[in-house]
Amino acid sequence: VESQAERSAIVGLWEQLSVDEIGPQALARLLIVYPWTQRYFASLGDLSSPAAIMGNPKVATHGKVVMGALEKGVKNLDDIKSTYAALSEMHSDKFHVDPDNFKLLTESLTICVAMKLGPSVFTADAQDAWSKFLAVVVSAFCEQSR
Amino acid sequence: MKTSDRNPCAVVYPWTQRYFAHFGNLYNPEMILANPKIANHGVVVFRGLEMAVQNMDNIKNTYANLSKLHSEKLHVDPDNFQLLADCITIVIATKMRSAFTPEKQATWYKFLSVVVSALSKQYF
Repeated sequence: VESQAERSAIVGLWEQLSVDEIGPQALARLLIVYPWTQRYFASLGDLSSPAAIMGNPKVATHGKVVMGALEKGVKNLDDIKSTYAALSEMHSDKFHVDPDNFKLLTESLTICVAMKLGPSVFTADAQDAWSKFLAVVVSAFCEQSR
Repeated sequence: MKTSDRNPCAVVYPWTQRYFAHFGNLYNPEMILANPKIANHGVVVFRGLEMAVQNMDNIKNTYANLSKLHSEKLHVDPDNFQLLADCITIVIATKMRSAFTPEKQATWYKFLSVVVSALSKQYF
């Protein structure tokens, strides 16, 4: 459960991000840096090289979908578990995603956020609040895997 | 860059502070960021990482002694090596910004994975 200061930090960070920009970048990095995750995205077409992944419009579109879902968490910080109950079930029962992979996506996302915001905005405190938020989201996603 | 990367680790993963009790004041993020012992030790850690960069063909042997030190003397839970690796990566990304391309991130991740593995080697 985040403190009020941490919640303000998370909302404040989010306001400086663009779903359409960061989502595609984060998903592309997941697929490039951790290539075994590509197995879950066969439907996205050509993932044969970093250039192919970064130029793939389906990757971009799906990145926006993922970020849009994360936005729901930002807007429902009091009840992240319920917010993601259905999505969690889908990822485990339908997609059979190894829950370790959720953390890899949040790593990629954090790197994109850090790059976008730079050191004066993405301070150690900001990273702390942000990573706590993502840890709660990941935990909510792992909930239905058990 | 070298001195500031340790700060996020101690702030974001506060249980890691248990290994640095002799560094004095780690009471809150501001104290951690201002603590000169933390800053100095950040440089020590980075110099250690530099050894791997300069011996990329033989990282396992390069870290044999450091691995033993961390397991037998310092009793560090090896899971924490990955946390520090993640923090280092985020600090680099924050610093390099758009220059930290996905390909660079992939290469860097592979390198740090080998480093973490080598540091964990003497535990088993």
